[in-house]
Amino acid sequence: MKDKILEVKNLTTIFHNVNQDVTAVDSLSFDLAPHEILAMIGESGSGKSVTNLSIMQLIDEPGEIASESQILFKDGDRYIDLNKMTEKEMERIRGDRISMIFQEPSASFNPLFRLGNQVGESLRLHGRSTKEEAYQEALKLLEQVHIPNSTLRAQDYPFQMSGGMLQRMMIAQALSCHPDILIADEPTTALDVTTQAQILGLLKEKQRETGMSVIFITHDLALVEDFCNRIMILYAGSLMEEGKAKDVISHPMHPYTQDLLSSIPKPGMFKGVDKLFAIPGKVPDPGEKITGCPYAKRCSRCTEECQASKPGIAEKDGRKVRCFHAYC
Amino acid sequence: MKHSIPYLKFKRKKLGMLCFWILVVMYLSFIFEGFLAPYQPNTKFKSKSYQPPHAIHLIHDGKFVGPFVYEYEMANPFYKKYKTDRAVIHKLSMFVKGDSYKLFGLIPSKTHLFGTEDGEPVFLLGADRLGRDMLSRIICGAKISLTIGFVSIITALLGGILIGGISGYIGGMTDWSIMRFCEVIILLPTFYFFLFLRSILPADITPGQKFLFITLILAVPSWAGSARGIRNWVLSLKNADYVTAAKLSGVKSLPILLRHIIPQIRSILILDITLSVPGVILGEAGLSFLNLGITEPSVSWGMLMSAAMDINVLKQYPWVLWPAFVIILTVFCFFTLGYSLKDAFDPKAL
Amino acid sequence: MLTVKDLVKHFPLKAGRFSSSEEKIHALNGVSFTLGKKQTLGIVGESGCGKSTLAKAILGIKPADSGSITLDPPDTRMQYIFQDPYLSLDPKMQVKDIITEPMTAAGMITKKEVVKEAQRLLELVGLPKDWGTKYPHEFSGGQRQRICIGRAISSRPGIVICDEPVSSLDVSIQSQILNLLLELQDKLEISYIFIAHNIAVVLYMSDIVSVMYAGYIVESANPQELYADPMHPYTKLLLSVVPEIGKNKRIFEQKITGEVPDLIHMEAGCPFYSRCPVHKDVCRTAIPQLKPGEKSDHSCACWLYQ
Repeated sequence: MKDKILEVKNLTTIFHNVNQDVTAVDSLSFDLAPHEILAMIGESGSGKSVTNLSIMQLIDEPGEIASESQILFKDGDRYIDLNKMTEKEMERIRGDRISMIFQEPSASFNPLFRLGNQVGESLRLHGRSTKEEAYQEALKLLEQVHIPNSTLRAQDYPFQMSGGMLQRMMIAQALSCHPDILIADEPTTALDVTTQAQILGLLKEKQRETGMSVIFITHDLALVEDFCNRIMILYAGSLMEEGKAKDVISHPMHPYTQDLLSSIPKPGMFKGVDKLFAIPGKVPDPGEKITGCPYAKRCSRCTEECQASKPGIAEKDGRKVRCFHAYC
Repeated sequence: MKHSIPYLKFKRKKLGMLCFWILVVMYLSFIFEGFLAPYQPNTKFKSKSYQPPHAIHLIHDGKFVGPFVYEYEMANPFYKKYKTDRAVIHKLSMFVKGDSYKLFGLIPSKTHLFGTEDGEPVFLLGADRLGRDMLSRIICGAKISLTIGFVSIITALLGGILIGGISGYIGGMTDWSIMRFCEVIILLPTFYFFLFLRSILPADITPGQKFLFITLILAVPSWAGSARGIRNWVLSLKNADYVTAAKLSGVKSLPILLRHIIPQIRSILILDITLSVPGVILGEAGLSFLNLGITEPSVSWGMLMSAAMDINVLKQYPWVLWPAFVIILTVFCFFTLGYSLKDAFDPKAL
Repeated sequence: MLTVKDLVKHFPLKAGRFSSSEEKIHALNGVSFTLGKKQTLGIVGESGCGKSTLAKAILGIKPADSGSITLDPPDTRMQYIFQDPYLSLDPKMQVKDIITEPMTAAGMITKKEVVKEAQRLLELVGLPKDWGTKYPHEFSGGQRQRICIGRAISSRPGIVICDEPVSSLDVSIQSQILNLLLELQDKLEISYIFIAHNIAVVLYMSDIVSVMYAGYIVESANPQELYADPMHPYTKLLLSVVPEIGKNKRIFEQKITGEVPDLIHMEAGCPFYSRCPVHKDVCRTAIPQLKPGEKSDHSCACWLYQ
């Protein structure tokens, strides 16, 4: 416990929609060590984004975080439960101690203000500097994220920027208050592969420099193998598998992880020569009633047991897996 | 999933639901007008001019006698002052025979929902100058006031769909010219425009024709507004992927407009109707209030209100203002219903 | 089956009705290729490389400014599969009407035959055949894309253009759709133009792969050849940054210079000049032509090989 920066216990987030209740995250527990990059992998409805919005206490009506959920964040030498914080206290933490970057940087900037002012904004909001100081600090930050002609570009408006440059701006803004944790929600999904490589490089560089922890959310398993320390595989709101990145990729234990790995086309597979494995069925609908294992319907190892009850999490040597028939 | 999400969301809006049911009752009441109204709208009781509303009593002389009203006695024939005669009672009863009317305009009948047993006129909302029952006149006025709103908005909307649809779908110069023309119409001060159109109508027209013309007059300004709105939607939908897919498959322009584009804006159209109807109801009321719209012997709420034009009349016989409250209630119901529907259709609203 | 020659498409940049700006976006700058029967041409490139503009020009949605598109036979039908199956199905129409729309529009079937044809098509794309009366919102993304594929093949087209058909789908669904497309090509003898930004997917799906950059085809070869022996520096760059499981590529340590090309102010020379690690003087002044290298079926537009 002492060496963790964040510890999430039994996080459950439910959306009370008009027609049904949807459990987006189902009693999820995980922790985050300092200097660690943790990857959260999942498809639509896996709950990966909702988990992180829950950490940030950004769940609005009709969503609700169960009151017994604990989100313990290391504040100095004590732990505070973010789920018990008031909105005022959370405002102090958001953007200051925990920052977030998103998939669409263009949607995260106000189109009417110059980028330089927006990048330094959190410094000003958290009372760390005046407006003028914040702007000077922003210029430094832009340089640190390798934006060419940063003094000039700070005068630009968001629409004048390419997606890659805007994502750099957003990283600069997120890093301005030296956060302990950076949550990156699919930061490269909307970008081209070459730009993606650049942004990943930038994130890695900044993480090494500042020693912050990163939660890296993505649907792309191929991206995280050598980029992250640990991987969590989520499916339909539940944790399926967790472990060191290298171990999970080279020795997947959960059938879902294994299927996923063999269904991603790799360069060097050709028409008529190789046949791509296809997972049957579809991702469960939100709110679909699931009694057993969420993956049972699509799993080749599924037995009656899997349909009747949801397997618990088995833990061994830092590896977690939720399966009755895990590959060991 | 049995019910659609907009329906479930709408069911949560208590006030919206209430307004919806009030409107349903109003519309039903004019369908059964002959039966619900105790008298025909033009039945005159000469001796009862400006008689105040009757209060319904149950107990007479310490004895329970069921619902009845006391006799009003004319105290001052010049000023039409009445005083209650506590000695004479008129018992009320359900399903009494009275004026003959045609239910739904077809079935001849004489039965009314209620009336006095002895045939003495009862005025629950008072009587007007000619001794006509206000309640009956309000119920009968609903027919014109409530239908004129719908008919004229539907007319306007059909025009709007056609013009706006063509404008948005064809685009270019056609679109530009049509839109500038619509803007000119929108910019005209609505009420003066009504007055102008009204003034060019011939004087010797039957009440039926008059109803038709007034409906069309009221439709003109809303037509342009609808056309603009629909055009914007068509413009944003005409490049939708499924429209492109249909074009690639060789579907012709008109079927694309009718099958792929217009159905998408169904909810917008429903909103447009609910939120525009009150404007037209008020427009009709305004015209009729100035005696330029519906005139005797037809009855509409605006026309009924013209009786309240004189402040002295209003001061002495305040019950002539009842139609105004009914109009306010109707307009309020339509707007509340409209905004509840808007929230229900809006996927972002709770 | 399809021959495309020197396709050029420039979009004028106009601020408004009365603006007289001369600037334009150079989306396609002379693209040529041929597509054979039952063949798949893969087109790979990053955003803004002109791959979608190419598709729209071929289909005639946004006709090209110049160049020629020749079909053989001339009445070959072409169909299109869109990227986002949530946007490409009319939400207010029943699936049976959606999936048979190209047939009814072409007068191939009567109203009475719709139900039967819809059942056949639904089965063909791997959906239960009695789902014809459902509406699109009752389907998941993958199922919707199956409906789109069913609609595209319903009128027996010779060519289907697939524009990023799997990039908006869940990872676990993508391979289903890719395999379905391959299966249908076998069964129905369709030619595909398969457009995607993911080079791994394009290599897996295609018989010939063309790499596009800034409105030009910069390299074209069969996929095995392209993967084993890429010629153009841009192709090499693409292959080096595509994530690959189990290869320990450390793509975040790749040195990548420069930004995406500016399509409005095009320079005189090779469009890849500013990002190219091995550029020569000639690259700045003249545009290299797409020419076959040592092997006749592997062509490349780069001064290194000319």
